Amino acid sequence: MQRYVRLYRAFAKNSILDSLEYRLSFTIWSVATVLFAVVYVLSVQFIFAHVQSVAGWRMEQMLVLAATVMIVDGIVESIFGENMNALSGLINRGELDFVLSKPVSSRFYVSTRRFDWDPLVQVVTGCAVLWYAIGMLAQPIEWHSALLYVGLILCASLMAYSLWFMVVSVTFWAGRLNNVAHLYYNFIEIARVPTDVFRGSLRIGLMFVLPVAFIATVPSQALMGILSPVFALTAFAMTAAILILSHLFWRLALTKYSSASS
Amino acid sequence: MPKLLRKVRVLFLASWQDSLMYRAESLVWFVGDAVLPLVMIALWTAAYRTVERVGDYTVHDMVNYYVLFLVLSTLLTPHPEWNTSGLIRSGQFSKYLVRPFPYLLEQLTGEVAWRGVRVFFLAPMLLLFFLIFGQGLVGSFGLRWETAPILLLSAVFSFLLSYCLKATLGLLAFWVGQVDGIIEAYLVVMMFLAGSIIPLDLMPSAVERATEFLPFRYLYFFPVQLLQGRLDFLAALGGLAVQAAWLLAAFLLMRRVLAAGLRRYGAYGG
Repeated sequence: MQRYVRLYRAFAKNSILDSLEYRLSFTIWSVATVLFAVVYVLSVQFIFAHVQSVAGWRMEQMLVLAATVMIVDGIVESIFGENMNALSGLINRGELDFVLSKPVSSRFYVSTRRFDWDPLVQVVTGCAVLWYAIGMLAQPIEWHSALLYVGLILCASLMAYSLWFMVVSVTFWAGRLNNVAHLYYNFIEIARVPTDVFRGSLRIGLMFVLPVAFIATVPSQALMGILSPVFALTAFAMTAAILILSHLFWRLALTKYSSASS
Repeated sequence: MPKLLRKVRVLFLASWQDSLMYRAESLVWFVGDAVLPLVMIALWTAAYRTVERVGDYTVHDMVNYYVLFLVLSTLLTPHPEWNTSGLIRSGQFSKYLVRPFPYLLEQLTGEVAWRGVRVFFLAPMLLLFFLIFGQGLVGSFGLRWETAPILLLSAVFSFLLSYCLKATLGLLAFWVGQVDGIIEAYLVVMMFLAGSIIPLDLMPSAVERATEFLPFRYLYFFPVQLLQGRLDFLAALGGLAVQAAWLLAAFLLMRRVLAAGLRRYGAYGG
């Protein structure tokens, strides 16, 4: 365990030295991130200029949701984003050899090798939006709700990462599918609206098959104190289940690895 | 001229085969373009449970709006920006400069071919929409016969305008090493001001008026309005004229930027 902490510190240090070379890039990404947040908040406000509530969600609650997606997505993308985008290529070109021959867990290595500092701006922006939204809420936030919120955000990040990891692992079977990592962004796109807007079996599916609901809707409800405890427990159980499932999936996928032609 | 046409035909067929070969990738890109309109349909149908009308839109008009937007944005959005900036950054751009046809034409031909494959994804999806939403969806469709030719022209202009703007962004790689952030920022603002998230006429009137001075509304919003029959002949013609002017301006800008970029371009190796 200690070895992994040391290793991760080395990865992060290596990544920060690398990104210091591209300071202009960081500035441009920050501008893009802030623009994105502005567009998102404006969209919510423009919609709520016409309606009072959407599926029981009021404007300020919707903004809490918006902030939550930004925070979760920022965390996932900064820790895992670059790695997930590179993984498909590693598998495809047979470069996974270099990883498999190292004396560390292959999943750990391919998931955390590069830390990306750019998306952290999104976490900061998300917190700013959250601050703004909380100020408009009718009910003050209780401290145990806030604590649960932090826990559920961690769950959401782990779930989103594990799903991303599994989707990219499909490359072992599919061969060339360079943009498979892109599906993650669509997944996040669905999380940007409350899951309550979907109905019937679609809604059930978005909770338990493709757990979009747990990314932002459930944490937001927890923060606002309107989440039933059952769902909080479900979120923790689902996270554990998906982590284990993705681990088994990776092990299975590795048996399909054919390396490069040699 | 026939010689150039023959070249274009060959380029087109090559890209067409590429896009069929990589149809799984093509499907992933298609899904990526389709998700936002679908999510917005879900959001609005939920919102309409408490209100009858939003601005000039009934719930059917709204669903119809996003379905049309989905069709247009998936068929009429070329993506020359990533490829162009990537080629410049890696120096492979040189390879294209010595070919016997202009790079920008070759890229454009490829983009047309890649859009074509999407018809196979769109058709079943539209059928599904029809099964879910039925007559209401068709009812909001109101293309007038006199604006039909204008619609066709505006669709072609939209594709070309999008192409020129995005190719110009890609060409910025001559000056800036990492253009990805600039491209992302552009896409976010462009999609918002083109009406992808909410119809422009539902935005506050000051914002909507501001979009009339920008090219983005002519990419999708204008053709969607034609398809919904919201513009009479004169308004349609006026819109088309403005769109054509933007296209010309974007085309000239793209040419200028390419020429200026080539003067700076230094490639390594081969």
